[in-house]
Amino acid sequence: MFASALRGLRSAASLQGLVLLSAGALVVWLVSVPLLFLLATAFRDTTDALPFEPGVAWTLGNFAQVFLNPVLYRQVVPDTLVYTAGAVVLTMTLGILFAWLVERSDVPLRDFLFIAIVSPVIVPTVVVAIAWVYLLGPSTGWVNLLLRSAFGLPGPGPLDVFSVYGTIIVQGLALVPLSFLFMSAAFRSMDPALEDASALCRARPLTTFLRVTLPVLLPTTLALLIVVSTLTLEGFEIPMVIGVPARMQILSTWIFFAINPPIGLPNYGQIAAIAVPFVILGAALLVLYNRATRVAERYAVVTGRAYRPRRAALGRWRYPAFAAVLVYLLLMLVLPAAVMLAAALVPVGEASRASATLQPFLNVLTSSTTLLAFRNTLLAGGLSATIVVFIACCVAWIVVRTRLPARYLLDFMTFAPLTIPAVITGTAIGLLYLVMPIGVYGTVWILVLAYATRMAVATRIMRASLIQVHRELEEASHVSGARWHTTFRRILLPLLAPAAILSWLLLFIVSFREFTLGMLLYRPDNVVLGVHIWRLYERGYIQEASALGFVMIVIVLVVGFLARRYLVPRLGEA
Amino acid sequence: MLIVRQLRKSYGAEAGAVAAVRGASFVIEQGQSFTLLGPSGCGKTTTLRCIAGLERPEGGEIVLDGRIVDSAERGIHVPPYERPLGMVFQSYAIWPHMSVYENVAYPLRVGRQRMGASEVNGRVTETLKLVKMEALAERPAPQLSGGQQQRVALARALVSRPRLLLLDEPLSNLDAKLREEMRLELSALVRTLGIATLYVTHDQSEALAMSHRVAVMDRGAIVQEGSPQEIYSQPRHAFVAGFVGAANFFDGTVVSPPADGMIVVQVGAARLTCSVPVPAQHHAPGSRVTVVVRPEEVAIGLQAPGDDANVFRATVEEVTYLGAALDCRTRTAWGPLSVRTQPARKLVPGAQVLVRIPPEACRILEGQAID
Repeated sequence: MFASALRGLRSAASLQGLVLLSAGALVVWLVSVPLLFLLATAFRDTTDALPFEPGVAWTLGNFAQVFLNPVLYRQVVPDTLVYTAGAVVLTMTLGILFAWLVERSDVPLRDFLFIAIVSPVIVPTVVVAIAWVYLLGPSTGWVNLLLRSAFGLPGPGPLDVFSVYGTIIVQGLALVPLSFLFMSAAFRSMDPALEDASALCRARPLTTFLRVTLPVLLPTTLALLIVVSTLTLEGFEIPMVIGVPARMQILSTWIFFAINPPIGLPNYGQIAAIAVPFVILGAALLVLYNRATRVAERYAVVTGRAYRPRRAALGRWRYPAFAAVLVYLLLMLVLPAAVMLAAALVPVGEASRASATLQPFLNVLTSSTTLLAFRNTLLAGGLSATIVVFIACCVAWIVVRTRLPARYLLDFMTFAPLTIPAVITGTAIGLLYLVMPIGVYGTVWILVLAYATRMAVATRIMRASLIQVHRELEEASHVSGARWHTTFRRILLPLLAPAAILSWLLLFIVSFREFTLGMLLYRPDNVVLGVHIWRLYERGYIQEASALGFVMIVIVLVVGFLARRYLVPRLGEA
Repeated sequence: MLIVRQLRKSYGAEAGAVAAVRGASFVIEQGQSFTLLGPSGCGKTTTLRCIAGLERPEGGEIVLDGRIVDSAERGIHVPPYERPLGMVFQSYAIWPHMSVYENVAYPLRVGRQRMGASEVNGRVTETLKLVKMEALAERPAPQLSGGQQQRVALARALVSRPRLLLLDEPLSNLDAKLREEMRLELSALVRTLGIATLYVTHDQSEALAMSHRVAVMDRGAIVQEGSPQEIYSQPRHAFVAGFVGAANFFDGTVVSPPADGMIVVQVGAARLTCSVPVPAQHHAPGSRVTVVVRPEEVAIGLQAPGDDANVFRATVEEVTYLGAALDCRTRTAWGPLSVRTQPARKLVPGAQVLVRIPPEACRILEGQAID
């Protein structure tokens, strides 16, 4: 495979070949090497040893120890299934409902609602999770205090976020923006003439929805189901903050505690053995996803074109529907921000306004750890986003423009990280650089390497963008006398810049919110904001944690607002 | 100017390769306009892309202005940016992030012959004037109409003064009226500049109107090459006759040896007298041939004209009014016959008529009956 790739590249101009080859090598190094290393580790006897220390033998024992462990079947698997199924059902239902409301009904203020539903996505999930604890914690949660004083109830309760339901509801709500975006794009690009045609055949609206709309959207819905299931399964913040106190053992937290055991050294071979079925499952889901999206593409009716939709009249449900979306916004953005601010200013449980103080903001914002966390967050986010955008451009070009046989493998490798839970990616990368003595372990550089595995979405964006750039635009430049690098600089780069900037920003926001990889690879030197806030919260610095949480919400909202205001219009133009 | 010898190129993996061009050869002289005509998938665009250097041929040779730019046998492949030619793409490929001026100036700024700003300016202005776009020089590319894009694409292809201009279906993206206009303008411009052009199209009227020579391609090979008149009036293959213009085909058997440049062919129950070119030795009696007749050369009337050779009774089956002409499908005792006649004729379905096929309108094809 690589020999033929090399031969293909050698025939191309040398600089072009060099650039593309280095991008391919980066993908292999970032994605494949850690995973293969992890898979190999699963077969090493690592009791009290690292996997490739001298004297360590090959074994199948890890699998026996992990998969014959009754805890797995009595607790981890049932808990994970209940949690995943519950959250997926909730997020899909709300996502499809909201998408239909905004794209296909006459609900008022649709543009505002669109932003309202999407904007919570930029708030770090760990902050939202902590905010929900402040709101619905059984003993001192604000809502519980309110209910108790209003109805004269005894504490704790009556509501308890630390429960199966609490975990499912918070996780389900956290993914609504994503499923909403997915489905609203599908609704928007579906030709309403299909529904009109059905109506002209005298089908009633409900019949049309069931027999035409749903089947046409089915492949997209399936693709969404796969993505949401993967993201729920790999979700770590909410299982950690809410699920663990609720005595739930979900796979992601189970793996985390296996890596960070209360006593002794972690047994990496056993952890790797847990990861094996995930990697296999991930590959299977990836194949399924590709098939679902390919079917969606074959249903040529869902095209990239935007149609003017016909909207259903909601009648007296117009305002209740509007209010339902507002409740969502309240729960996922307004209340978390408010409770964070309040908890920063006033110690939890003390309702007196007299003790309110700005001191926690000063404390947390001037601490050297916070400054280090800021620096690490920006550095790891910015650098990894730059690397990924470079990879995405090159891989997209190889996949779209060349006939190299290796291009499918490359495409698969860039997409694979999407289906592998972050807990496992983090484990693999941590383990690899723990063993490989190149000095990145425990530094911010290992975060760069870990964040840079998130190349799936950016590659897809760049690919879609490159497909829009007609091949003849490049060829016209060659015929005009320009070599590959001139063509790249003067034609391709300017045309791809909007998509590249968009990808970079998305990656940066994802890194800013990042918690899982930061936790798995945490050492005092590479603390990032998400991890810092968690450590403050965990050690009882509630006011400082809240102050930092509030600051993070403000930062992402301001950045999101500016990007929307100044960048999105310019993207639309190009 | 351009010599193409035995060009071969296929697409796809080694196993399921599809031959796109199978041994095409032709020569374009200095100042000549040459057209590759054929249906989509016949290999004409692939041939053009090979000449531009955008594809690498698997066999054969391309000689451009005396220099071998491609030779699969000798392992020569000159990249597109080193070939002295201009090209107008089917999509026009106007770079949307540049103005009209920047688009046209690009080849002078990046290419073989980089020049100073004032020289670039002079050249670009001159070329834009040539295509009548000088007033829109500063306009951003996305704000151009189809016809304007075409002019910019042409200016960009001409600005470096190439000796050969390649045109890939340049009119196919324009609407009918504009296409007519641009066709005239393009031919006039090419004639004025006196550069050689290679024009690729699937539109036979464009091909006939715009070129000195036409090569008709089918399934990767050139089936006939000649002047537009030759291609239209002396098709040697059923494919050429059918693709260029409308045609009636009759399968028959030669019954008499050539006499006075005429042979008689038995078609069903009828005998057709056909004129043949002087050396007609291979039309021996008994050999099976296909006769092709252009609909507009058939005379249609109610009484027999003076000469009664090749006059048959026919029934009008269907009449289509086309504005400039009247298409009429008739049926004779020996088969269907399409006729094109004056639009003022009063013909109605069911009418009994006489048709006359002049012997000089009956051409014997080289190939055997089409299936």
